[in-house]
Amino acid sequence: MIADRAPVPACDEYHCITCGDDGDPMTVVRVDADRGLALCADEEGGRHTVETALVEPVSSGDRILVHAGTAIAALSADLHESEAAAR
Amino acid sequence: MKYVDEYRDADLGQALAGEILSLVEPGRHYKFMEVCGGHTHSIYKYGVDDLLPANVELVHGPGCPVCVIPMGRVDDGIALAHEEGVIFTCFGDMMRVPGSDGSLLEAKAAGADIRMVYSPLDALRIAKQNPDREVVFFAIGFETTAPSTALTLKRARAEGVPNFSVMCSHVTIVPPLRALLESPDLRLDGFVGPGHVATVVGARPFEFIPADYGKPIVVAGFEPLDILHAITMILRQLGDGRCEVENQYARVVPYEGNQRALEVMAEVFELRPHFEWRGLGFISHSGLKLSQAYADLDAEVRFSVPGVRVADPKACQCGEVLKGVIKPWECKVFGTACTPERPIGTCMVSSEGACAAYYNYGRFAREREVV
Repeated sequence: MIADRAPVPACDEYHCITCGDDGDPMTVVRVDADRGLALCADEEGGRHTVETALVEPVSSGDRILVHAGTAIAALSADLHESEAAAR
Repeated sequence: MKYVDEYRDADLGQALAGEILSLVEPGRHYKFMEVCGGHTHSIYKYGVDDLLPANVELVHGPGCPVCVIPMGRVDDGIALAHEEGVIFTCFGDMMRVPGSDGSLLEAKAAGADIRMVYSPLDALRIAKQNPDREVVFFAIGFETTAPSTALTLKRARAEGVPNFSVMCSHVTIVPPLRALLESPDLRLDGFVGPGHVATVVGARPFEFIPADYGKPIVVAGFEPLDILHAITMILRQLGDGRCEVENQYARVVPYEGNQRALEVMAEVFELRPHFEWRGLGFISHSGLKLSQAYADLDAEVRFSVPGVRVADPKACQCGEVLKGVIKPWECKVFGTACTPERPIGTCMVSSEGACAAYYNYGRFAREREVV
């Protein structure tokens, strides 16, 4: 593994993951389809309410990329891998 | 961690570094711009620059959302935050960006009700919890973040939250890139394209770079191997005499982008005629405001916003850093008067800012070189 030069927490007073255009990989835990929201878990197990309108439909267990409380891409779909292979 | 560990493998990194070495022509100097601040952060954090040959230079681009916000816009936000009954909400890094008379953090310390949020949804939640207060969300960011604001505005409309509004300072990535390419003082050989912006807009909007300016661009992910791989792909294009848009981050970025995100942005936003960028000046059609259909949720319509225009501090050279003309350490106040604890310029605020990223990580490598 390539090591960090110094430890950096995901979000602290000197690093805002939203301002940094970071994408946070999360796993869908529970879907509230009526409200277009999902309860998602980040890699550390933290729970977040996430807007899912851009990647619907989502199901429990799906992997999504979250930015500013919104899922901007599905990580579990084969779409991108097949597109990559096609290119 | 899936999609992460595979992209930090040291052996693969060494292999890519070797491939890069084999692809460069001795005696030729290569200058590539990483557009996104997230790339700048990764490059310094993982020491990607240490793995490159001396004749491959990475130049930092304008893609740090916080760094490009002009001081006047911060002053406008502070003025709004001092309005009677207002709760002003914004992302974390924005709190520390200096205006002409202090930051939002200092305004908060002086008594204004300013709250940090992680998403526009958090701001909407605060509005619902405080129906007797006006809640303003200071929206910043490129196309990565704009859909989130747009969806929240649609939700505010659907749920009938009358006390929520947005001060929109979203910007778009293509106009500043075009401005940089037109700039006579910057010679570039290629671009590492912004991966998460492209998740929304796709790779297609960058086709003007090879078509109009004859430069290759590779949209890249943010792990160290992503960046090394992208540099390899740019070098291969140059070596083959090709010049096109390639998508290294295809595991996340569809070439055509996220159509739903583009539709919701088109519904909620419209382009401003011009928008002021820190250090870059006014750039036509580079900023977003709320469309007529959402004007009632526009904080700049709902409140009297001063519309302040403030010149950048003379000592600060953020403009040159954002344009890639100088390196962070070449700024007169870098690391002395301007530090992440007491930033003068925006590039020292966000850890994606070139100055802060270099201050936090890169300077150690430089100190080793000096020793």
